[in-house]
Amino acid sequence: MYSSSLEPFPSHGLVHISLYRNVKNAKELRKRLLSRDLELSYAFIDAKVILDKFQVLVASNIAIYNETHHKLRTHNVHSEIVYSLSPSTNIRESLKNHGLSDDTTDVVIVKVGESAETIQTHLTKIIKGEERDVEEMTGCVDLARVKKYYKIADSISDREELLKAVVGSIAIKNLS
Amino acid sequence: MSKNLVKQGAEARIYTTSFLTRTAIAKERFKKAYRHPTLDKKLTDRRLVQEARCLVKCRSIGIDAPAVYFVDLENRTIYMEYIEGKTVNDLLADGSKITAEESDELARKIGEALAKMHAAEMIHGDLTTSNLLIRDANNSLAIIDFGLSFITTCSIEDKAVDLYVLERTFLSTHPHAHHLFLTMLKVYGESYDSGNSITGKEKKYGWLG
Repeated sequence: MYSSSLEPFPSHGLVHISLYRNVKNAKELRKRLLSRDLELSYAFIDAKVILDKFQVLVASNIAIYNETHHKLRTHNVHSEIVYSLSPSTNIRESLKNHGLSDDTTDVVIVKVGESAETIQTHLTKIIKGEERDVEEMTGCVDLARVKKYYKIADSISDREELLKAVVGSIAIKNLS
Repeated sequence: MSKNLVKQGAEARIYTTSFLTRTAIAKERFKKAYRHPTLDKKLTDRRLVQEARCLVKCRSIGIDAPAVYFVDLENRTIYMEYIEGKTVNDLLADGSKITAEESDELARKIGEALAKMHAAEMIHGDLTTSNLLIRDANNSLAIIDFGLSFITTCSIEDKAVDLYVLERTFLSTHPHAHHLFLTMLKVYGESYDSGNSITGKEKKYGWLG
């Protein structure tokens, strides 16, 4: 698990990011999320659309900004993280493309607040999968999907250049 | 958040700061006390949004510019990539040794980048050699400070003024490097369909100026 505070919100507590692979119960988790099961107060993200943890941090920062300034477009800060990751302003489409689907196996999980230990224990209980080093997420990505969702030119292939284009489109999505 | 002031301009303060594991530039626009607060907020928001959009658009069409990380409208601040590099202004400064080959290479990079930017209907608004940066990492030419930028509809005039402002910088700050500007203009004209009609206009301004 990676835990860090975000510089623009020093008093907001920690943001925790974990990576689970070979997850077997995505379908069950998704069902519980849809029924707003409060035990699952996390952002569940399909690792296939994530290039780097920086991308997750950028979206989390925006979600916390929206929460702080009463600008949430979804129910809570965790669904807002998933929504913020998407370049689309359509909530359903954002959650569909960037959140869990029934056959998701690699999952990035984000939690705002609480302690790393509490979260660790709880996640082990609810997720049927293997926890891995967060940095391993760079190997889970589906580059074709990232390019499609973020409308990035095929000519851009360098990972760092891709990441810069992706975080840019996340950063300007909600500007009217 | 620890911030180090790097520059104070007429419109904003520029800081370096750590941001979500990276080093970033935080550009904070001033509140203008002489304007009505509501109007000031509206104008400042619009500027921030325009700047961020132009930066992101640059990257999406393959022009090197700082990546945008976060637009904080509440605090009038844009967080963007910190680029390690040298400005063209520094490279052309008195006493710096730049060979004819390096000069041509630099002219080509600038001409191509500006042609691409103008072909996408983006006007920079403040093109000076201090706003053109060569990255230390890969020698790529990055365009910075889009604080006065806008996206235009078919304005040859605006594009010519962009080039004219750059020429004025060359004439006043780097008179010995005017040939670099002319080579740049030639590359620009060749790299872009309407480029030559714009350089024609630019020459007219130059002549008038």
